[in-house]
Amino acid sequence: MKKRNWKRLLASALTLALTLGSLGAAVSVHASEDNGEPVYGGILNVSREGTMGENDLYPHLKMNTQAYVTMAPAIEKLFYLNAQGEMVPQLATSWDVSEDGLTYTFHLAEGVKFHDGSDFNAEVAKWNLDQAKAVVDELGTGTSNGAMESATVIDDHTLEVKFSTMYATLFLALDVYMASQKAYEENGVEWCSKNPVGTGPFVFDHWTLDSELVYTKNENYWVEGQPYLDGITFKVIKENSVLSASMKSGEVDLIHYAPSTDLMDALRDEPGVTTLISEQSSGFTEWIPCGLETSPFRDENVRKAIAYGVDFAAIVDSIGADNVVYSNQFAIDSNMFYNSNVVNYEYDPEKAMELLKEAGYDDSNPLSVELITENVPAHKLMSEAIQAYLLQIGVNCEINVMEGAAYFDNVIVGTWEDDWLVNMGTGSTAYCPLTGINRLMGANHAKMFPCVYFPDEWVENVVESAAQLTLEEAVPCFQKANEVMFNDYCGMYGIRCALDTVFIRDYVRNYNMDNQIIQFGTLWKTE
Amino acid sequence: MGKYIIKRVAQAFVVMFLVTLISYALIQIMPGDAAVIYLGSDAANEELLARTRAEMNLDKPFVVQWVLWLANFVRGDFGKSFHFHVPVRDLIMERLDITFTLGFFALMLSVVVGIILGITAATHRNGLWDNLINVFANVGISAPSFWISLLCIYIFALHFRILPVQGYVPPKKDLGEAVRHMILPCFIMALPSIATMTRQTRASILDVLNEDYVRTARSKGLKKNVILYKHVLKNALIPVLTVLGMSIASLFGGSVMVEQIFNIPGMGQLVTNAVLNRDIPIIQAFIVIISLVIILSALLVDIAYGIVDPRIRIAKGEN
Repeated sequence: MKKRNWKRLLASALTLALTLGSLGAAVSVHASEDNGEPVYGGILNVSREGTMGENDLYPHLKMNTQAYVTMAPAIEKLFYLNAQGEMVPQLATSWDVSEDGLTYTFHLAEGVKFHDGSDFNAEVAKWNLDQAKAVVDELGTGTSNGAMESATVIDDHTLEVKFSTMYATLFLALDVYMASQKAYEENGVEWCSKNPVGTGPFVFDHWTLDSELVYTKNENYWVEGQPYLDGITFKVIKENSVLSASMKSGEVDLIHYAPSTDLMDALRDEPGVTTLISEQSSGFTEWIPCGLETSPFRDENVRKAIAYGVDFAAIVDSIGADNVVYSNQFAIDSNMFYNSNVVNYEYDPEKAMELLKEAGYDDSNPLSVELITENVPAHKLMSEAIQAYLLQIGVNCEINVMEGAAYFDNVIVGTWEDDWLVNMGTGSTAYCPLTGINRLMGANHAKMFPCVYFPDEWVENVVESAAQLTLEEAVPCFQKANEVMFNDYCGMYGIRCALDTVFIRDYVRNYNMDNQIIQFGTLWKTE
Repeated sequence: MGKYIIKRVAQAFVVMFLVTLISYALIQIMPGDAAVIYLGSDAANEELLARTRAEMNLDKPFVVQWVLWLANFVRGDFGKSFHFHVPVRDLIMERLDITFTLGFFALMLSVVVGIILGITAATHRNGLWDNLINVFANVGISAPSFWISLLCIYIFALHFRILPVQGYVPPKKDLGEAVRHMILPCFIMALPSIATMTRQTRASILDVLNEDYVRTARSKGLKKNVILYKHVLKNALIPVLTVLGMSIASLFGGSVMVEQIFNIPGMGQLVTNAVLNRDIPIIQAFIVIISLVIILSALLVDIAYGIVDPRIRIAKGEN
């Protein structure tokens, strides 16, 4: 009997050990899950692919997702969003929402001070919300932000925000950084854009434009015990080979944005470096044909011929890494907005040539297409592959690679040539592709993207989707919009979905991929 | 001598004048509207666009634009960066001393190492040292700098881990770290100049060694080192001065690539990004400043020629 008990005990212990062992293995893979005892000290060196330093660090200038990460050590929000779009308390400790969803009452943290010594209170929070709304109203690039009717100070630490219209993404209007009103009034917007003053765990130290941005520890941070690090340094390293070498040598501890395949190839198997890939897409690049009345792409047969004649899925798969996936619509299959009724135009060059013939194009009168892309390696590779496919179906094709400013000048605000097929990016939030599409269609659409044609039915469905009470309720209309654009109209192709990728040294702890913005105050380094 | 210097300075002024004209013409030559590039997405606002065009003097005739720009430039106002939206002067002042520091040390390195290697090669003509130095010089001239840079990063930063991959530390902040961060970039910047200097020094010394006065010195029984350092080197280094002048130009050209690879926030990196972003005011300022440096160095070399070798001065005077 005793022997049997021992055997059971041994078996249980073995099972437990194996379970713990497997848990341990999982922990070592995901640095974010290791929540051992925090260690104080050390500087966290952060970088990203491309540039980060030229953006203004005053949060109410323009919507600029790159700048949001670089201002995050110093400037906080009422709440931040996680990957599911859920609101996580920060400067607001709690909030109440009215039954109709149009009134939010925020209860703010007490005893919080800005880095310049001024108090954070409901008055300042209201001022920040008003500033954000004014910018959005002027740019006309959002819908939900513009719906904020009023922000009312109830008392020093209670703020009531009312909305006039319901939007599924209404909470985005409240997703606002809280900068110091005093710093703004004393120094002006230009100074604030280069000297972020907030309530965050780190205080702005200096910024050498396009080189490095340095923050030091906020000794008076309102969250007790935080931050753990002595400082944060953002390094601008534009050469990917140098960036990966810096990560390998330990000169960089965290790369928070890395869409390119070469970084993935260089760092994926590097000892001491963990690769974290998001399960949702935070951005799409798609090919959009010219939408002008005179363009050959206004002929449905031409649009469909391109769809059948180019194997976009194969191209994206072949030139992408683990952090890139193909989709036939604005959503990836793990997202609730994904519509499985949207069908792929299976690669069929014969059919493509038939359609071209019906449209009046053949060997004697070939269709000509100019592929327009920014000077981004992956986009150029994709252009070359598309060119090869188009030549096979008898379409004359040229590639026109533009640098950033020329691309903006010609593509974003300029008038396209009739034969342009343009590679364009549509930013998004991981939980909700609707946010990116809203920006594409904002009130400035006529000025910002004058040559993109959106079918009426698509616009109606996107607008209706945005006007729903919750994200769940917004899904059917958005799915219908995807069907209209990709099945019926065939107005966009080859969607390349970027999955957020982070490379992090194993000695950096408590990183949470789930958060939309890095919470620098909670990170620490064990080395 | 005074006449000679005045003539050279006057020539330098004419060249600088033309440089400012050509660099300002960039704003007309480059595709796109400068005001649209400056405003970015705000260019959609037509009123703002018109106001910005007026502020940038783009609504005036070209010659007026140029004169106004030149007047501002002379006063130290280089305009506002299209990309960063801050005064170009501030951006340049932050970076100029970094590029000058790197350039200065690279120049010193190329002069000292180049001359030593050149002398060694010449005095060991056709020997092992000569051949080794020749190989080194050929590699230095022909191998692309970016390839050598990546190779050095791999060997010294990733494999042996004795030097950093990238970055710049000001000497005032931490001298030791500053030196560590400067070793690789300075060496890469200096390498082509070292190679050129080595070959030029070697060729000049070998030429002078065949001169009659050297043969006479030998026949008088003077020691080998005395002949080399007292008589040969003095005359052999005159052509090296020409190479030195050219090296200054190539060092600044090389800084563009080196600063990009080693992520050094200097003028080279600034102008590379300015070209990519069509940040015309930065490009204009860079062209004028670098032209000034190169013209000044060429002027100093010319003057030095006149001092070191009176025959040059007399010949030019006669011409």
